[in-house]
This record gives sequence, structure tokens and C-alpha cells, in this order.
Amino acid sequence: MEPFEFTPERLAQFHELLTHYPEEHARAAMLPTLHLAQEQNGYISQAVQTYVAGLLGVSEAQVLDVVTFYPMFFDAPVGKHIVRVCKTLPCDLCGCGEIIEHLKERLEVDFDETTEDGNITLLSSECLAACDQAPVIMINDDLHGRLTPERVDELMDALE
Amino acid sequence: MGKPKERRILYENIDTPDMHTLDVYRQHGGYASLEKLFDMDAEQLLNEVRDSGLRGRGGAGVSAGFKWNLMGKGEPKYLIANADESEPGTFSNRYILQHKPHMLIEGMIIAAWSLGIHKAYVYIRGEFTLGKKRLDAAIQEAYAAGILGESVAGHDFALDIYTHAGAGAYICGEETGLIESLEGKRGQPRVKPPFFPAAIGVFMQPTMVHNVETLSNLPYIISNGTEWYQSLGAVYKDTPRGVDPMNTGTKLYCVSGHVEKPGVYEVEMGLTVRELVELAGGVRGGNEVKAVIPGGSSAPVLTPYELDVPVDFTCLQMAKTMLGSGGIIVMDETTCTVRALENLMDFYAHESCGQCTPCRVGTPWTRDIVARIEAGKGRPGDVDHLIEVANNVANIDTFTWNTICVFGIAVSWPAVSFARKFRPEFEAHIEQGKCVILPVSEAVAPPEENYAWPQELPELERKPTWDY
Amino acid sequence: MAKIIMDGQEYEVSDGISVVQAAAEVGVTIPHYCYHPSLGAPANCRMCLIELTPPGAPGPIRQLTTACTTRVGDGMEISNEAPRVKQARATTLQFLLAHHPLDCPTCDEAGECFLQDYVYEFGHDRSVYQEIKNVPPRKSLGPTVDLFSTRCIVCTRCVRFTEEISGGAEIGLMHRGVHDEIDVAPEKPLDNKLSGNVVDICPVGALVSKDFLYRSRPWFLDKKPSVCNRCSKGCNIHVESREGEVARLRPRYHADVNDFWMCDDGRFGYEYVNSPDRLRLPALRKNGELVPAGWRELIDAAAEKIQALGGDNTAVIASAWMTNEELYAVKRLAEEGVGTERIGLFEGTVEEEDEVFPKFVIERDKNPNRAGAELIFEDGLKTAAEALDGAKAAVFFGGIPDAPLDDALMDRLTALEYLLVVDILPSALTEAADAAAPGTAFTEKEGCFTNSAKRVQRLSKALPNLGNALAEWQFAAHLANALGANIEYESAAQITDDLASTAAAFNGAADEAIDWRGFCLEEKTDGEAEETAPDNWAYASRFWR
Repeated sequence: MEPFEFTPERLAQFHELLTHYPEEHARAAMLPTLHLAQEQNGYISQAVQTYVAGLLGVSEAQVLDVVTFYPMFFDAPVGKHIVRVCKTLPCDLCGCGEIIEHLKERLEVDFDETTEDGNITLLSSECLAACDQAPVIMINDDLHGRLTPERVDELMDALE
Repeated sequence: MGKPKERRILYENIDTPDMHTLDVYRQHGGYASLEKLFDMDAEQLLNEVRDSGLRGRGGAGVSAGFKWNLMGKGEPKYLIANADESEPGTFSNRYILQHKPHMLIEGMIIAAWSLGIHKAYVYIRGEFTLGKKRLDAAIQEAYAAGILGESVAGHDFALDIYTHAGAGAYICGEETGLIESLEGKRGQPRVKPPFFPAAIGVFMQPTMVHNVETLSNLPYIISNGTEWYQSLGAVYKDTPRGVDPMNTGTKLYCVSGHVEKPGVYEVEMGLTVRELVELAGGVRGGNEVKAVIPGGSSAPVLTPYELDVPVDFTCLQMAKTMLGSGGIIVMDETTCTVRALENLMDFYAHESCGQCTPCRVGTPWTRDIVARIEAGKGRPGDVDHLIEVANNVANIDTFTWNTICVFGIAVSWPAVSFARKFRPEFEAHIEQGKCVILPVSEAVAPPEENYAWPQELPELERKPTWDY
Repeated sequence: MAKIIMDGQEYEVSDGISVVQAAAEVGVTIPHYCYHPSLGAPANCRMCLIELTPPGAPGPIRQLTTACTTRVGDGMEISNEAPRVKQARATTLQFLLAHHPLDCPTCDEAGECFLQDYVYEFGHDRSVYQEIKNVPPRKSLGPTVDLFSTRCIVCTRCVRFTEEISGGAEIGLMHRGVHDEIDVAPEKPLDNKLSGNVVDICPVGALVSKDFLYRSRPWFLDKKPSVCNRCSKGCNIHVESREGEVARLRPRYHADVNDFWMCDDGRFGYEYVNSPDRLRLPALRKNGELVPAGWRELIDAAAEKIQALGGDNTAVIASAWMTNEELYAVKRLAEEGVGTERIGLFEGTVEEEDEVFPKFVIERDKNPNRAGAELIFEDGLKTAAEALDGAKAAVFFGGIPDAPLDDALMDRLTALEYLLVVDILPSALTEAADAAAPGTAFTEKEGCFTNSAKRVQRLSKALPNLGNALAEWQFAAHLANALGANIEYESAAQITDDLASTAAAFNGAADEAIDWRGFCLEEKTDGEAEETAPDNWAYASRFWR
């Protein structure tokens, strides 16, 4: 098991986070702490769970409980880039099906899978709240709208 | 009377470059309300907000003044801005957060001062990375400028605002689910009673939860006065018991789907669905409308027979649907309504928190039935079966739900309304054992069956003139 | 008290309790799964829906309400019979059964399963679910508990138990929606001393005890109320046995002692009772070997030896695992038969500290009846070593499995000229004895323990004596009479009465006065602090199995 602890900078960030919540409710910092940890580690490994549980004074099960509830937390390693494709109704009406097919074909993966080179993990996503730009995808932190297969190719090229 | 047109108030100058910065926001009149705010006391402010008729923009449409009145007396109290915008078809908060975050901060200061709150959170959806970055920066600017912190705008009033990012769960938009999530747990809604947030909210303290759009209305109400706000929108007379007649102000309508110009349209409430679709450039390619979801994906769908319903809280409620979050999803004649429903049910099955039995089991069950029908594996009786299962989660006819929260409604209402109103298309799938897209005239069940609308509109006391 | 109207009938119920509890008080079952009166109420199962008319309201409220989160109020009206209530309960069961396997024939819970019972009483008679069932895997949660995930109805009682009562929060709810699953974190098994309780609170067959799994269909079990013997707390239990063997021990509700819980030391600490090595026949040492003998022979030989060596040279060692009645008989044996002041107490382990959980304490003193011994023998009680100091003979009552017999004590005992041991298992001590007499384990005893809070609590004779074993009080009386005393007891109950009338400490604790809630020797003064929290006796009698 790869050990885990926050870098000094992130540990400082964590301590700042704690000040956002009443002292007796350190557990409230769970989501932001997990975001921080995932930023550093890429995913919430078992070591991260144990570390975060220790920081917040909760059990490992209580951490895993949260990690598995929220789809943005990964409990297994993922690719260098995360591509989330919105597949909810407004995007579906505007042709996300074609985009999804294209992505799966190009990356040779299905949803929740990572390309062989470990570069890209393809995820389906529920409504990304940008229906005016449908169909949309999110690459890492950035949203891209009004997609066509050609535009998708450009975006993927940039990742490779 | 003019044709409905946009009246930008919240969205005024939203496209102005750098509007997300304090300087530019101030140049355009930002934070002006604070000059009046601190001369008013809690009671005055409560009256102002109540009299303005402002209703919650997050979905339920509860009068903000009514909610404020219920606020518990315990200390400390908390304010939460619900920026977990995730109702399919809704995207107006995204642009507020990205382009006008100071407006939200200003609104939060007003609510906090009015309710005696010194600590506030913005629960922002995890996927809103740019929005969070901009909001965090805006909060930093506000602290640096003395607008937040120990002494808000130089007054003897302290307020801290923190952002708190979610992690991809729709249910955290439900206010008690949000509160659980904010406390670091899975976002499972709490049982009401006893856990009405105004009485027992986050950290078991009185908590006011408002949608971003609701809070963003406050600066304009305070700056321009209640009378001005009341003059916007539609107000009805003699509505039935339990139907609030107030639809004051503008609404950020999010129009998406098969329209020429999808986007956010800020219009005074009172225009009809048809007018709103027109405003968004009409149906793409001049196609025929097949279905319109008027208030985010949880709202019961409307058929072409029902397009003259005003898109406001009152009339949509009377049409047995809802304004909800104001997400208008337009579907044209090329749409398969079974597939559309399958897509929605898939969403709800994925997003059900799983806490209570009817929703945990009923949601994927409903999805599976619709998926079967769409895949050509429907069986005779499946439509009634679907309606029954959905109604067992939450009953659209009696307006009751067996679930802990209204997610039950969000699943059941679209399922039942689609199945009833587009029954011929559903039956055609079952009969022919494959996906069949019927022409609009054949796909829709006759209006005399199953419809709440057309019916008589409640009498109007006032409607916008749009002559500006 | 509050007046409520339920299904048209007026009742008086305790104030401030949940509607589920109130209904139980008046004999009405409101079905439920997630609710448990000693845990938080998440109202997630949606089984206890009722139609509610709040006090003073013109009619029922539109939404059905969960009875578990509704507190009774004066003038409240409740309907369990309204068609929509019946329909809601039936559909909730339909949902619960949608993914539930039909493995009742091999399920441990069958026969005591609330899913079976409520479907029978409130459910539909046919299934309409035609989609694919979820089939999550079976897993081990820890050394004592297995999870059949398919059967789980996600009531989260176990999650709340580990958070609120045992405190380690080892069990969590993982994933979301229909994929919800109970689980533990990797390498963090459910391994605490209260773990067995999660099996009891599981309303279905999802959590099973590894110890009991596939051991018996519950309906073949003979169930007797009793008291645990593994510490001085005196948890109320049921001994469930089959064909002369203990099959399992489970907690029995007691508001003032153990609530609904017991610890694993007690729960799983019964194996010695079933041991094939148990002593069954009286044995005498002949030619250096212990050989089976008759009781008459053993008792006469013992009396002869004791008289020869002198009663005042004979120590009588009682055990802190004996009942009040046995101890009293031993006291009379020592005083009236042997005629000695050498009375000692043999005891099991005493830990340094209590084991404290958020809402449960395992007491440090691993002797179930030290308090009884101290009250019965009063100042005459010595330690075993003190009583044996300078003695030539001893009558030693053991009965404590794996008791700590230190070398010093062992040396003293083996150095005696005559040693009679009454015990239940062979040990170094019985091997060294001149006579070994089979006694009874706690599941075979009648009588009472007095717990550390001085509550006298009754044991049931759940199993027959093994072989030729005699109850310790019978043996003590026979031996005393062989030594010239005149002790006439027909039953343990007679001793209870005798004790109540002769020992000041047991004043009032006559057989008739000791019910299944026990008899508190130190009655609480009639202070006003009484009755702060409502108790769950009515609930327990209806819903606790």
C-alpha cells in the first residue's frame, strides 16, 4: 500500500479549510479534504482514506461511504485526463449520442474505462448545466460545448 | 401590449467583460443596495421581502418572506446559497457564478443582515470549476475591500462566506441533502418534520437555504424598492386554495433542446410557453413542437395542446406541472418520447440517493420498464404498469409521495405524464416491438384524457406589458 | 399520559413516545424496519406510514406520515386502516421484495424474519416485478458476522448501531441508489465486542452470525429467558437451545440493565456448556485413579473425611459464578454441616477497567454474582487463599471455565489432605481432587444472580442437568445433612424465599417478587428524577425477538 500524506502546502490548505466549520464539526470538511487529496493523489486510495479518516476523526468506513456516494471521487486509479460526457436529455436531444460513439471509437474504451496508455478516462456524466451549449463535454476542469465529431477530434488531439 | 421581450435585471451586463471583478461590478452599480441596507432593521427587511412577492427560484417556489418568517431563534444561524445547479435543463446559476459572482455575495449580505447571520456557505456543484474559481476570487476581493469580514462595508456587522464544493450528486440540490453533504456525509435528505432547515439545519442550527437566483434578486429589491419589484411579472386573483398568486419579478428561463437559440432568457413572468419558445428563436428548422418540459426535467411534460399556459408558478401549478427551476426543454417532431423518458429515468435512477425504499427501488424499476419498451421488449399492460409503479413512489393525482424528499415526485411526475400524454407512442412501441416515432398528431393522447389544461386561467390582477 | 384515537378507538398512552411505541403499548403492530427505539430514526424504510390528524386539525394531513418520527400528542388521531395507508405499506413491501432473493428455505432468519411476517400481514400475494434483480455478493464483515447483501433492505440499523452504540463506525453504506450496499472498509473489519448485536437488529437475514449460521431453524429452538454470566453487569438474555445444546444466546431487553444489547464475550462465551468433556458422573479417587461412583458413596465418604479431619479444619470455597440460592445453600453447608468459618470465594477474572462504548459498558468484573456472594456471606467471606490457609480439607465449588488458578492457590489445594471439587469441566484441579462432583452450568441452573447494581435477576433452567449431575444447592444440602444438619429444600425457589426472609439484604426479594425484570435490592428513592426517558418494554415485547 502506497503511503499517503498531504504535502506541506496542502496540509496548510487543509488546516485553513477546518476554520470554515465549527470546531466540533471537523467532519464537515470531508468533501473539500477529499477534493484536495484527489488533486494530489489522483484518486482516493485506501491510504488516502485512512489518512483522511485520521485527519477528520472519523472511521474509514465513513470516508469510503462518502467516496462511493459522490461520482466525482475515484476509488481506483484513473487516467491523466478525465473526459466527462454529458448524456442527459438536452444533450441527448442535441446529438450527444454521436459524440459518445465517436469518443468511444476513437479512444477505444467504454465509459468508466481508461485508454491503454493511461492517458484518458472516459466517463458519462449527468447534466453539466450548460444545456444551451449542448452537446457538451468536460475535459478535466474545462467545459466544451456545441460539439461536433470534428471538434472532439481537435480536443482529443490536444490531449495526446 | 407588446410582445414578450427580455427584461434583464439579474442578467444585466452579464456579458460585460470582467463583470466578475469587483471593479467592473461596482462600475455598473454593484453593491449599491448596501447603502440602504444597513439603515433598515430586520423587521423592515422581512416586510420588504415578503411584500415583494419574491418566490424561491430553486424549484419549490416558496415565498422567501414566508421562509424568513419561519427562521428559528437559536444561535448561531447559517445561510447557505444553493449553487448545486443540476436539474437537467437548468443553467442560469452557472452564468451568475461565472460572470456576476458579486451579485450573489451582495444578495447573501442582505439575507445575512436581515436574519442576523454571521456565517454563510455557498454549496457549489463540483463540476462548476470556473464558477468556483470566479466566486472564490470575488469573495477574496470582497474581503480585501472590506465588504466581507469583521465589519461588512464599515458597519458593525460581521459576515464570513465560504464556498464548499460538492462532488457530483444531484440530490445535494435538495436543501436537506445539501446540508448533510455540507456536514461531510452522503447527501441523503433529512426527514421533515422535524428537520426543516429554518428550524434545524446545518450543524443542527437554524439555517436559511436559498437558490443563487433567489438571493440574486435581493439587491434589486432593496435598491429599487418593493413597489418596483411588485410591478414586474404577473399577479393573479382568486386562485384556488394552496395556489400562490404571486409571480413577481423576472425569471431566468433556461431554454434548451430543439430551439434555434438556446440560452438563458430573463423575462417578466406571465408569458406563455409558446411565447417563450418564440423568444428562443422558435423550434429548430421550423419543425413542429412535440413536447415541452416547462420547469426542469422533474416537471410533468406539456403537449402541443398546452402551449398557451403561462410559464409562471401559478399557472403551471394549475396545469399540474411546475415552474420548478425554470428549465424549458423543447422537443420537436423528431423526438421519440419513450427514448426521452428513458433518458430522464436513467438520470433519476443514477441520482437517487438510495436512502428510502420507494425511490431506491422504484426509480430504477421505472427506468427498466421504459428501457424495455424503448428496446422493443414491451409487453401489453406495461404502460399501466409503469404508471402504477411510478405512482407508488409519488402519486401525481393526489399530490402525495411516500418518499422522504420530493425526489420521489421528480421521478414519478415525468414518468406518469409522459406515459399518459404520449400513450399512443408508448403503445406503438409495444405493439410493433421496436422504437417508433409517431407524427405529433398521432403521438399525443387526445386532450380530453388526462389533461389538466386547457382550463380557465385564473383571473389576472396584473400582467407585464412588455412595452419597453 | 396522552389520549389518542387510533382507528376509531380511544387510548391512553405514555407521553412523548413515538407512535410506533404508543401503538405497541396498546397492542397494535405498526410495521417498520429502519426504526429502532434505541437508535436514531432516519425514517428510510417507509413501512410505518400512517394517516395522521394532528391535535385540533380539521382532518388528516395530505401526506402520509412516518409513525417512527411522530411523537404522540394529546388529541392526535391515527389511522392504520385507511385504504391509502394499507396501499402504501403494501407497495413499500413490493419495493422491498423487488430485489430480495427467494432464499427463505436456506435463510437463517426464516421464521423470525420481519420481511416474511409483514408481507404475510400487510403485503400483496403476488409479485409484479419483472425486471432483473440485483445480486450483490455475500461477504464477511468480520470475525463474527457475515453479510448476505442480496437480502439487505438497507434499513441502516447496523450502520447506526456501530456509530451510536459501539462507536467504531465500522459499517458504512457504500455506493448510491439501487447499488447501495452495507460494507466495511478494506482491512477494517467489524471487530468489536458488540459486533453480534448487528445480527439481532437486522430485521431480515442479511447479517448473520457466523457462530449460528445453518445451525438450526429458529422454530426448533427452545427459548428461555435468563441472565448472562460473563460479567457483573447481568445482561438479560434468552438461552436458545436445541436437543440439549445451547444454540445461541441473545439479549433480552431490559431498560435499566442492558437495553437491547449484550457483548460478544457473553453471546459467544457459551461453548463450554456444550463441551463433550463436561463432567457427568461423580467420581472418587481409588488406588490413585478417579473412578465413577454413586452420589451416596461420594457424599458419605466426604462427610467421613471432613469429620475425621475436623470441620473447623475444612474450608468451604464458594464460587462467584454460583446463584444466590446455591451460595445460600453453601453458606448453610459451611455453618450447619461442616461447622467452619473458613469460607472463601473463588472468582473469575477481574480486568483493570470496564470496557466503555458510547452507549454500553462491559464491566471489568467477570463474575456474575460477586454482589450476591458478598451480600449473602457478609463479613464472613474470605478469599479462597485466606480460607485455605492452614486448612486440611476443602469442599471447593468451581464452575468457572478457564478460571485463573494461580500456582500458589493450586499448591495450597493439592497440599490438602482431602479435596472435594464440584465443577463442570475436567481441569488440573479435578485431576488433583480426591472426589470430583459434576455441577451445573448457568444454563442448567435455577435461581438468581445479583448484578453489580444489586439487581436480583432470574435464570431459567434452559437445559437438563448433564448425566448424574446435581444442582449445587442440592449437593450442598445433601452433604450438610450427611454432616448432621437438617436442610430441607425441594426447589431453588424455596431457597429464594428462605433467603428473602432471613437475610436483611434480600428483604422482599421472595421468589414471587422477582419477575423477569428482576428485583432491585437497593430501591431507588422516590425522587423526582425518575422516569426521565420512556422505556421500551411494550416495544420490546412486541418487536424484539
